[in-house]
Amino acid sequence: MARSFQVDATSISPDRATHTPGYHGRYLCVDVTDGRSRWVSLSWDVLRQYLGGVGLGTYVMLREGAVQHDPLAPEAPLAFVFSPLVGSPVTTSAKFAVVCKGPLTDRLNDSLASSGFALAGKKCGADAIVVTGRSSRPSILIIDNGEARLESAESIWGAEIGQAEAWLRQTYGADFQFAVIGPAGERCVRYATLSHDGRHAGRGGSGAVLGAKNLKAVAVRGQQRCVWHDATSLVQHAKRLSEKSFGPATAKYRELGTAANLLVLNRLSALPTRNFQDGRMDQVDRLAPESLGMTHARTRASCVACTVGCEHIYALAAKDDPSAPDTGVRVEYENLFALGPLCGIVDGDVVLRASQRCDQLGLDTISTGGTIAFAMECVERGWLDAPWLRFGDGDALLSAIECISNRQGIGDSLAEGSRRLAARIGPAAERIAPQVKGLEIPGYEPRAMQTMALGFAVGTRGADHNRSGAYEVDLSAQVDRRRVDRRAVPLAIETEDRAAVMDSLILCKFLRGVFDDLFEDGAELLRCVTGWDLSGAELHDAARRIINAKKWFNIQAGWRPQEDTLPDRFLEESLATDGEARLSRAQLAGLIVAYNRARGWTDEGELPEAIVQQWKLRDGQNSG
Amino acid sequence: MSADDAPLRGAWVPLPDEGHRADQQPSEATVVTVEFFGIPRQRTQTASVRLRFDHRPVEFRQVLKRLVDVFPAWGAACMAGDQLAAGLAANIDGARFVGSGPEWLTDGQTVLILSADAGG
Ligand code: SF4
Repeated sequence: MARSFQVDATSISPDRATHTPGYHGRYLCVDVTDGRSRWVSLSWDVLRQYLGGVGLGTYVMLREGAVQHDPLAPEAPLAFVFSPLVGSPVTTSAKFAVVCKGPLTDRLNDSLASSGFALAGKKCGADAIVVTGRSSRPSILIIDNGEARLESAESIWGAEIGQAEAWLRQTYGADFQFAVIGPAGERCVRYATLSHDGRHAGRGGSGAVLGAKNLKAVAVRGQQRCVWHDATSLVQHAKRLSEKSFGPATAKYRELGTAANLLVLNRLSALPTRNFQDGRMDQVDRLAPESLGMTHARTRASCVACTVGCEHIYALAAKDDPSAPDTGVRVEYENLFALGPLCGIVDGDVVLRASQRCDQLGLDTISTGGTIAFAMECVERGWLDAPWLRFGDGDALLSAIECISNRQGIGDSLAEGSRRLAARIGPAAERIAPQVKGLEIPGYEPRAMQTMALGFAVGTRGADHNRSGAYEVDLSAQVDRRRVDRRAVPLAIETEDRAAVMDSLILCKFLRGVFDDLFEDGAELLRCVTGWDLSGAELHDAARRIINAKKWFNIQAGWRPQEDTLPDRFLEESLATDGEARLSRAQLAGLIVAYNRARGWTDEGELPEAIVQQWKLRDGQNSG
Repeated sequence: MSADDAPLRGAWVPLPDEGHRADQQPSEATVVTVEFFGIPRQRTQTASVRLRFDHRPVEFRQVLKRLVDVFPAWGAACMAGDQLAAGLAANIDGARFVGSGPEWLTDGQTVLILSADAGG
């Protein structure tokens, strides 16, 4: 490969405003149009207020002016953000956030991925790496110990994820770690992923943002370690946490993986089926991990520095088919539901293959399945002329995935996501497009899980089960999940606050059951790393600040109150398999008003000036 | 009589061998079906079991006690004292989740035992 041109990174300044343990106190900003780089200082109080990961990424996006740009424009920034715990012995902490304005939603988008990229990226000497601009030709951005340069990606442009990663490893060596896009990202499919070592910053289309910059990959390597304030205590805490992580709170993840949700949600008529026309599917047990494990070899894996190991990798080939290729695919609940029942499919071979194709092409499985299922219903209703695209047809599903990645035929429209596709078809289609703010709805039927419905409606990222864990409330005796009222609101808010802390520290959500008190325990970990005299209450405030900052970003980006809702289908039809699962427009509106008031916002969800000032949301905005 | 005092009489009957036919039950009998999901299913190696009590109604903790008798390995892994271990939940008929108070079951009802953590 010709290493064709280098970015002049001479503008890098060693100036660091802070040496807070656990942080580098600065981020690197690289413009891949002209190769200019700059370091931006991060003050002690900004780090304490926004922590890292999703929180710090939100601050950086506000500071870099992301609100004003189209997400796929050259000027739009995309940030890889690390955290104070990255590189520490705390289990599941080898994670990074990818934050940008989302191409599906035009609102703030944040997604997480794990493993070596987080460790190597932070060792570059930056708490975040921000990429702006557009390279004139397909390129790889190399950040080598804080020095940035571009090299040609022509040898791997068009390559699938696995092939590209193999080439990068062979070309650059094992001490580099890579975040890579597939063909879908290159073609700016609006829900393209960014992949690293088989894991994906999956939701919202960060892969399309990188593709729009003509970047196939970002490679990182470094030697700059952060010190810890109290290493002895940190190791003790980390040990305790690891021991607890072997206990019953994580048994489900270790033994079955998230795929175990499938039968539970089906039994509760909460499994989205045939584009949310139903909540239950016959024979879905064929996709359950217990059944897939009978027919396909299964192995377990884990992210780097994780003691839980929730990854369950199934061989694509059935056990009785020795001629098939020896390839595996990670199976999680979300890809099973989205590429299975949501599209009317219960054939395990098809769902495994569809998952593997999404992984290799670089497509978010939830948005892929959601958009295809929506198109299938449009075909069924005669609104879309693609007679081959039918519910239950595995070949059609697999073909549609390839068409989306290639933007071929109808795939070009599907690559825009269900909201934009519905807008082209017409108002009747918009009623049933399974999205909020443009992001396709994950695997929890909102009518059967109404606290989750609230979480979807108000989510700053759109319909989202990772930034709101409201499904936990629905699966408890705290509410009647099919008749949720305002008493659920503080419970939903609590799950958002907890998620904001976990996504900023960054710790894996699957660890949440092992904490006695997440805010106190998290503060203790931060005390050990940074030396800050931080209380659980202050950490909880950081969560609130981060949620307000995300909302502030969205308001600046054009958010309107009417975005905080669900598609008409969910508010006008009861669930076919469970007539008691009904959610009225007035009920959801009441929940949203109660939510807004509890957050200190106006009834419509605007931020009063007092809130903007309380959380200092204007500080640093556009000042970079 | 409190739930704890209620005598545990009657035999347990695993599925699928015996269906529940109302005309075969003594008038005071209660048959409760228990469906297991996730880790509870792993521990019991059973998708569902039908339990018969020769009294009615039946309190939820009586069902748990009976399950511990039938599936000792499940009891060791999934019970904390006389309650479900943290991380597990029980639901009646797919409709409501069992809370901390007494939960009375009538003939023909179904208890689902599942992981409370459905995060994906
Ligand atoms: S629990 Fe799973 S997703 Fe979380 S860090 Fe471990 S292996 Fe990765």
